[in-house]
Amino acid sequence: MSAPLSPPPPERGRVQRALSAHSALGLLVAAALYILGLTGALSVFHDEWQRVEQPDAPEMTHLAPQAAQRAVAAVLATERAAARPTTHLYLHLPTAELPRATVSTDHGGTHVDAAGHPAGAEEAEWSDFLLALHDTLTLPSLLGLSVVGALGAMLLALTLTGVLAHPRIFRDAFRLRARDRSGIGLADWHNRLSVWTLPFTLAVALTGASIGLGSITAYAVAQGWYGGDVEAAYAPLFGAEGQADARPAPVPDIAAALRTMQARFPNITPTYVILHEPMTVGQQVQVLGDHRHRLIYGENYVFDAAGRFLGTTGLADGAVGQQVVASSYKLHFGNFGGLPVKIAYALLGLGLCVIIATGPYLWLGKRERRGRAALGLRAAWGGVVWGTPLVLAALFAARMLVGHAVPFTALFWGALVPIIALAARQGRRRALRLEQRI
Amino acid sequence: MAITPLWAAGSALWPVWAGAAAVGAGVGTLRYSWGQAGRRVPLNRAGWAALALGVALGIAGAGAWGTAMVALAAMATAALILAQAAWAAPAGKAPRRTGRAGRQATGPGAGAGAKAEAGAAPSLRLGGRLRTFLLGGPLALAASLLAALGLRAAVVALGGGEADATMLAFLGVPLIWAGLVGGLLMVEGAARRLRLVLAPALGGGALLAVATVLARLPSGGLST
Repeated sequence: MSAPLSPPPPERGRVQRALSAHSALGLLVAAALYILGLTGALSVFHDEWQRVEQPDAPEMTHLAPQAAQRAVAAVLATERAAARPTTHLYLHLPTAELPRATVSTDHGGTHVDAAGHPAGAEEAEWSDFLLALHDTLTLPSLLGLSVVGALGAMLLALTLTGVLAHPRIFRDAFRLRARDRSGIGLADWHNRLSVWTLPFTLAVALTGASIGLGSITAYAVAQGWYGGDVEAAYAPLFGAEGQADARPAPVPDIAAALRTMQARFPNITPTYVILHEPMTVGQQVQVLGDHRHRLIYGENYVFDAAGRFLGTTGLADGAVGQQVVASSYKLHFGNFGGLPVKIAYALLGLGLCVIIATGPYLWLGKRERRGRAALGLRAAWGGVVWGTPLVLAALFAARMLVGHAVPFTALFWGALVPIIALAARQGRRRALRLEQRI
Repeated sequence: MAITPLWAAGSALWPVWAGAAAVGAGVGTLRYSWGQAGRRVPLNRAGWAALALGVALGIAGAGAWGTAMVALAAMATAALILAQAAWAAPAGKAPRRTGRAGRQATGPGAGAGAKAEAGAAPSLRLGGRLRTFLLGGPLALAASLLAALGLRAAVVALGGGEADATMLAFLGVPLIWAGLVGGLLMVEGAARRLRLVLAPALGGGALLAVATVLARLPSGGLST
């Protein structure tokens, strides 16, 4: 949302200040936001990328309770044989969008077949890299999450200043001189897309910022009310883990828990079985159940090791705060309405990328019209805008041709940073040549 | 596990689909109204009313999920209208390379730009920029945290549940921070900027102090 076409005089002061704030903040965070926007749009299809990456993994529409039991027992036995017990275990159950069963522990993932027998290691490094780039910019997890959360807050601030900088927001809402090449067309694309994707942008920015900054907030809440215990700060929202007791115990009865789910909650679709501290006396079983036509990511159905139902966490019907926080994730990732909603989210995400990409170009164009061209900066921004998808495409090609062991993170930054630097250098050289010509 | 199309998901969702149709009609009505010469108050009102009705139907049909679906329908309708506008837009003129715009590379103005790049740069005002960054970054974040914690304490002191109070803190931090950053960049003068950051911090601190005192009262706070 940039320069208004003809702001009425009384608004000029506020509009100009908002525009100036919008430009300054946008220039500071545009590159990082662009990478987040692009990886976010691609990560909407995280399930689908996994299927493309490893097309020969066993697929099924349903995993029987006994097969689930067999799968968990087999993986836990392998971990125990390797003398590296896991603290948590996740069994992904087949869903419409990812019809695969996969057991993940602290040490990696294993696909299982419909009978619950291990069927090879999970190889989803490309999909996971995309998600890591979006979630943390590949920084160490806590720092990365906080940085990305801060960028979400900056996107909110950009939205606020953008709206304030646009006094004719309604009258111009459908004005799109798409093929104008004098700068007005670019401004129209930026402004119109900004206005009409506003609900989406606000939703993903707020949910992303609150998820990303959640660790800092939880730490502060823990210091204030829970003696520094961060898990206790999260407990009113997501429930508490059971009492730890490290004495050895047999594999819990997953099958009984899943049978109980079928019998007592036939309308709920189990998506994950989660074991806390497996094979210890303090172990606990949770079945994450998907509630159709809800934004919550699911409800935790808690069972003891014998598979007896203990209760739910309350994400579906507990306090409003629980339901709101549980709704943040699907609203952010766009996985609440099947493929049509995913496609809509991907397109909206690409629209957000266009908004972010055109912002600095508008600022640069304005400088140029005032006779203050910054060709180096323009070229560097071009390096970000075109280099990022180019490097991502090259890495995907490498994944498909070379395999999953490609060092995605090192190659991404190792390619993108030189591309931007080279582009900037070319731009500066062009500026010098032009000056010499004068 | 067959994927059920959304539109075949059951008759219980009819308010959501009716809401989607209503917001689509609302966006279309506003498009027509704003495209007319002069102000068309009844049409504008009809458009906004259809949007409000659509959202209400979405909420009534499936709560937050229904609202999200209705919002997507509104954005999809607008995208279609904009696509039509882009398609029908007349071809624009090529950017002028003479006069003021042309000077960007070849005139005296370009000299300024090129010189700036070649090393004769004007002052970068690094001190001022660093101050703004510190105020809008770490200090505004700290102020937002304090304000959000104060909000949480106030909600608990007034008898609210811990989950609701913590949720408000989680959402409050980015919202307050975003408002502060936007405000900081819009106001002029160091003193006004400092006041802007201090206000939520002091407000949050005061709420925390009051809540702490109330919690220590024999009754345990306002909630009892």
